[in-house]
Amino acid sequence: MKWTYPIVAFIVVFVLGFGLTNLIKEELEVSPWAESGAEEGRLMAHTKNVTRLVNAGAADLHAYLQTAIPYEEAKTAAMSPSEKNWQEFFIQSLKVDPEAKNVVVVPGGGKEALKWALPALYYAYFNGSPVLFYENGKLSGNTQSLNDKKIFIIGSGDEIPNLEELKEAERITANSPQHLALKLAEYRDEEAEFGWGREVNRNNGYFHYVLTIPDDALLGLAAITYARSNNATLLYAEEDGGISGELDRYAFAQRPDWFVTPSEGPFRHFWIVSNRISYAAQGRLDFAIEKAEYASMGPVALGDLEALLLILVIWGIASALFVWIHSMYTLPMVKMPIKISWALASLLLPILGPVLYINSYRRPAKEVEKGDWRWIRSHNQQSATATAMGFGYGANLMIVVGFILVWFGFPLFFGEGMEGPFFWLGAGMPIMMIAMYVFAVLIAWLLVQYPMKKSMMPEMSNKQLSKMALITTALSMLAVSLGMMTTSWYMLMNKIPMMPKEDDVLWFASMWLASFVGFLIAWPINWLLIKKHLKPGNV
Amino acid sequence: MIKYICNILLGILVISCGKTEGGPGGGSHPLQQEATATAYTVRLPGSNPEEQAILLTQTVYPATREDNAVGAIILVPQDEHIAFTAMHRITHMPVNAPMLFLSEDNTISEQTLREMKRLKPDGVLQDERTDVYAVNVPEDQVKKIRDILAYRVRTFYEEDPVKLASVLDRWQAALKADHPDEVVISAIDHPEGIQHGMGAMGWNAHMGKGFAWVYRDSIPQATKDILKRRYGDHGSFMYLTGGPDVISDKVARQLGEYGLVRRVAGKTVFASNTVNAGYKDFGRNWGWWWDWTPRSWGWGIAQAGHNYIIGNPDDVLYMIPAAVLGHMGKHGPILFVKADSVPKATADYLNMVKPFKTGPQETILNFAWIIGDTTSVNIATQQSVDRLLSPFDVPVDTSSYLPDAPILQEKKD
Repeated sequence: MKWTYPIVAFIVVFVLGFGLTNLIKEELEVSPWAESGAEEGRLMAHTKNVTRLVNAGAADLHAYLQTAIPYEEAKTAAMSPSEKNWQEFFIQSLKVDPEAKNVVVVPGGGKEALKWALPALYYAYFNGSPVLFYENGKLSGNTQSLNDKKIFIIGSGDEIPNLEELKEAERITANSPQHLALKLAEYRDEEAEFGWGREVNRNNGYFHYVLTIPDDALLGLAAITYARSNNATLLYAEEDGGISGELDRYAFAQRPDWFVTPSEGPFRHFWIVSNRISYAAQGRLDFAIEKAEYASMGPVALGDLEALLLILVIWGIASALFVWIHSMYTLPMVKMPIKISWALASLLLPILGPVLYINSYRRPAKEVEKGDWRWIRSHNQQSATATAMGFGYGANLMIVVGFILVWFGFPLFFGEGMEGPFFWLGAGMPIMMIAMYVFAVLIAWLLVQYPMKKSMMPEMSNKQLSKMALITTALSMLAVSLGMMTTSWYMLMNKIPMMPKEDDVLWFASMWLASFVGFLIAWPINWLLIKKHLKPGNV
Repeated sequence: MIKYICNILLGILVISCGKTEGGPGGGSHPLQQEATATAYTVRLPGSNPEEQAILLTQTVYPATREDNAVGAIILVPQDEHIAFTAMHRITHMPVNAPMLFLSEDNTISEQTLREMKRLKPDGVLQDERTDVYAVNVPEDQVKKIRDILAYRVRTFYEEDPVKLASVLDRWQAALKADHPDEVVISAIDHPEGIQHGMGAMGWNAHMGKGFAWVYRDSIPQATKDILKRRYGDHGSFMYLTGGPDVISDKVARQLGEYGLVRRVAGKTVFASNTVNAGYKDFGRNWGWWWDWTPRSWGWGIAQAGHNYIIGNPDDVLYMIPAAVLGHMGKHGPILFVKADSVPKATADYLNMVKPFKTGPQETILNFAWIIGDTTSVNIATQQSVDRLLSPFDVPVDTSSYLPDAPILQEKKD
């Protein structure tokens, strides 16, 4: 019967390993369905967090926005922007604020200069900052505007040299227009009132973003009205229509959370003005800034509670590996089923598992029969060991059964016969709990406790052994369940606003936490079982 | 060797993460030109209920990955009362289901079937991984879904909306192992019963509370059964959508037998829905020793920084599925306008929640979805709404809010 223990361990490792691997896979995937029909049959291009302004060019977009956003405060020049007149277009659009505390210096000239200048032009237009263009070795415009204002030189780094009148200036540079746009989105000089300052810790702003690609910078300029009407920051996607890892990171950092209901602010929004940005990128951005509850921050993002509980899972895996490797190398006198049990128990008892394990075996031992060792332990320690023996297999099996049910879906019963005070017995969660207990007891009884007791008490009849194993398994796991079920109900149905699914780290983490509590509840109950000699605590 | 294995594994990992580059996303879309966007509004220009519902699912669910696809789909015939009841009770989490319509001949059109395929439901884990909730959908159409799309379908067959509400109440209770104590109550036999309750339906699509029908002057048995299912001394917390002309005072008094009764009502359907947007009821519900749960019903929005779903009250079948915009994305309540003007009740409310100019780090903005094409809400009305939502002043000249009518300033012969 020795084969039964590794079989149980394999089931546990396989199912939970599969679940965790699936979780990691789904978190890492970007837009896996984008090219398999997600865009098929779409009647229009807008999504809930991304509005797409499909256009026939900068002139078309500019004309459209002049009608769509008619506000005096956000007016732009009447002329259409082009690669030749973009500086003039901007200067005519800009309403300089005489009290502005900053001046912006950007490269001037052709299309390449516009790519680098545009992110800064958005802020300057929003703020009313004077703008000077550097072209052909000199600055355009009135350099007197530099007096008493902080100068910001924005660009690629080597385009604008250290001129005499710019020696006090602060340079903001990057190695690509995309990086520069992101830098300006996060940058803030409070004294000079320069930069959007839209970092991850700005939780309250209703931030809007205009998104184009550097090659379509002119479209971004045509949409500069959004910088005033919607306080929109300019960001760049990649030339191939996708978004970079950095933009992906930034967008996820901007995902707003909610505490009471998702209708509370803020929300964030993208305005895509380049036709060349892909649907996959749009879908990713729409998803990245979708509001999520504080606990988990939704899929992919890592919420605070999620991060905290994830530590339990990671430490649990580390604890199990430590106990397994340590016992294999240093405790040849401990039998394999006991080692497996300690490793599985440690999986769900981060830190505590290894502490109890070490405390159990750093003690005097004696060989009662050939190959059969016993350790001298206190009553409390014996209780802990006895709890871990049942818990290691039982609690893990309960999670395995729970995961399988979540994966395939809970059954549901709501017929007229289910009305009345016990209607909740037809609900998935109670069914899952009952199934977790029943199936875990049955498997642990047949494949673990019965063979274990048989090897320890060979003189007892099979019937007696079977009965005794069933009672102790049922009692022991009932004790674990008391803590485990109440905690998992509290976590999944009460604490976490949206019940996590099988591909959510909070589901696993809640189970880990529930198991931990289950162990703490079962420990004193096993104290009684040890006292009644119903369980051994010195193996 | 280990180095090579690590490199291969890393490569597989990077490739498996996927990519976002692809063909131009701004390709041709038949209704893109009609989907007009202003600074603070975007129009979803449906010209019939089926098309409107598809536009809504396409807006809310890009379906580029499991997490932005649907949990399930609600499929109903074009019956206002059935659709209203279903949207009240099915949409909210954990189901996460938008609504699609059958055609007028009670079949699934090719366009709707394709959209159902695109949506790739994840299946509701609390309900046997159900992909489609088919309410009063003919059996041959259900079979079509199972055969062609291989989706799991749960069917509800109940022609009487009053009884349907009861069936869905039992189903929801099993789904959540709980009966939500807050129950929205609308009048089924009042011609504007649904319109008065549209905003409250939006709240339920957003928060998943209870729903029941009453008649203007009596309470049906199925509704009494729903209310009796709520436990505790308080019973239910009932929110009647409409004034005494919609649900009589007699019914309100009788409902008092089952718990606390409140009205969410204005004199017109426009006012009822602005009241709903600003309404909040909270207080005692349930508590014992160390744990307690307050009742909490209503949007309670009286300040800037929110989203609205705005449409024409005559377009009931357009507005019902639009409640999904209150369930995902920016969320937010439903408001009504006329096709050619913003009624005073709605304009007053939007003026109250008007944002103000702020800095780059604490920006506060409103947003709204305009439901329907320009015959439902014309361009001028969309622009009027936009200005009301904006942080900019509304001009003293409010002529844009007036319907087209002969000018009174000149003496006519």
